[in-house]
Amino acid sequence: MNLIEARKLYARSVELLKENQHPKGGFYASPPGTRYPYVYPRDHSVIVLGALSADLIKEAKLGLQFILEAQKPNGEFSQRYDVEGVDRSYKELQIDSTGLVLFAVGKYHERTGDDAFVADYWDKIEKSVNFILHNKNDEIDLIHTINSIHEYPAYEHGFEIYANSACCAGILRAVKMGKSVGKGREVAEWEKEAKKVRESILTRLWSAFLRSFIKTIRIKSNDSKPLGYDPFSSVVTDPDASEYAPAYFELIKDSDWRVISTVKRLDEELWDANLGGLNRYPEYWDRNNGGYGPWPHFTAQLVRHFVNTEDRDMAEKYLGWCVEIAHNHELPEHISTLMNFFIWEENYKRVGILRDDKVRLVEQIKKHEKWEEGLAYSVVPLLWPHAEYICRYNEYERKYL
Amino acid sequence: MIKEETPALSFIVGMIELHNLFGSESLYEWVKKIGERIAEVEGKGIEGKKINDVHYLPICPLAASYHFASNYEVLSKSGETPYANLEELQKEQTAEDAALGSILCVMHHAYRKKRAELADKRIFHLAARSHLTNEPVFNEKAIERCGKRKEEIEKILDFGACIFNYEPD
Repeated sequence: MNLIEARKLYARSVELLKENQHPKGGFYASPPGTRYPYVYPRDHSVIVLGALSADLIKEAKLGLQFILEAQKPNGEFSQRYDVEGVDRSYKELQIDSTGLVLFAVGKYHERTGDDAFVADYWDKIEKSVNFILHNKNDEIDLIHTINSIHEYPAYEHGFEIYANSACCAGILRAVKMGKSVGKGREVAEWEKEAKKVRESILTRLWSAFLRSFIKTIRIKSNDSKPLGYDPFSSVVTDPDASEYAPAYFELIKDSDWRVISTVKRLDEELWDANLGGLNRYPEYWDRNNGGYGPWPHFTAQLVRHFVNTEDRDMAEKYLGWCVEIAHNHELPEHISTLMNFFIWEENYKRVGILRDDKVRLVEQIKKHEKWEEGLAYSVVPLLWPHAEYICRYNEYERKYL
Repeated sequence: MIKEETPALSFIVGMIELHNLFGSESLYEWVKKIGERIAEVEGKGIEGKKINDVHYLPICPLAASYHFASNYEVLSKSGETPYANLEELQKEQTAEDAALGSILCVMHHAYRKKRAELADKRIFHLAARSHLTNEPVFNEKAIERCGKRKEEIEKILDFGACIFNYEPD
């Protein structure tokens, strides 16, 4: 890995976090004028984690204040907000965002010991935990969702692993914070429920046959009783980068053989043969906006596993790939070969679903300097991979440099 | 068996029955109240994509979710019409009210209006495409109130199903 470039990418990543925080606290998912000029709680929470890793404590706190104030009356965090904290969603429930906000608040508290902050926002924390538990199914002890990390109900509607891991970790963090501010008795039930969810993730969302965590137990309605009679009832076992979530959210150690085996499968099946880097899911899922190809934030996530399992070669391979594909030290959402880009564009055009925002995406991809080199760069810069990179670079540096 | 379509069909039948029992005005108030109550659960929010200085939705999510046109056709074939006297309701229309693509616009507008109010904004529903015939339907008082021209709004209906204006923008 080119360490000089790696450090420059780190420095630029920190700058980008600062540049893309609105004065009211929200972090843009991508800068104004690009594809995602809104505050997405999922991205926002990961960016807060990046800010904490980069010692931007004041920025992280402001970011958390912003997002907690934007909470909906029922305790949910929406798909996205504008910089005033007004809901601007156009997609349905994505409960992982609610879990992620709690997780990020917990990480902030762990880092700063700021009990006053937790006490100030306790009613919001409580509401979010109750919202998550309201969506817990007691037959299977998992949390039901419509969308998760890919915002793709076809593969995520039901009991999905990333959403469940984020929500379970979020509640466990809330329990920890509650105990710290004298709410031990109040959080005892939450802890019991979260432990049930963790146990269910580690058993129901684990395939002994595949030796891997799996993506989703598809269930249409959380109210289907029993679940076996639900019209969607089926299982998605395909490799998906989100299957690393139980370890990412610290529900299980990276050294656990189940995580090692899952990551091995992801590396074997999702590492891109042409471009390197990790794809988010298999190409045949056929929802490959901007062309099928690898994503730096999923690639960076696995650096955490390789650092924690002391596999320096793999950590360097994954982190080094992010450094290599950064353009002017800025990371895209994902990259694609021209062939894959044209396959996607042709497919969507032919069937008439290349809607206006995707037409703009096409224009931006074709205008990007990398186009002339034969690469389709989608959404540059995206803040999420920069935040992941900050976290992972710091972990790598602490261990190896 | 209860089919996938049954809940949506039931709601439309419910509107027809309520109309038959109590008339268009009661139906209007009922669906408006539904929109407001749901908005209170959702909290503040803004909808749509912006073009020039108005917002629009490329599809009507309620008409799609209720399969309004196809369910209404099914009911019409079995003799169930009308569901509301839109022309009558239109006579009473103010700038604050919904443009009536169908009675569902009343519910949607009430929902959007309440959520806009919670975000310290006002909203005016300028136009929609009819959920049954796809013809343009305007709220001319709202268009005038917002200082727009009907022609410019009609152009947006070429690709939008519903057009509205927030104040402040």
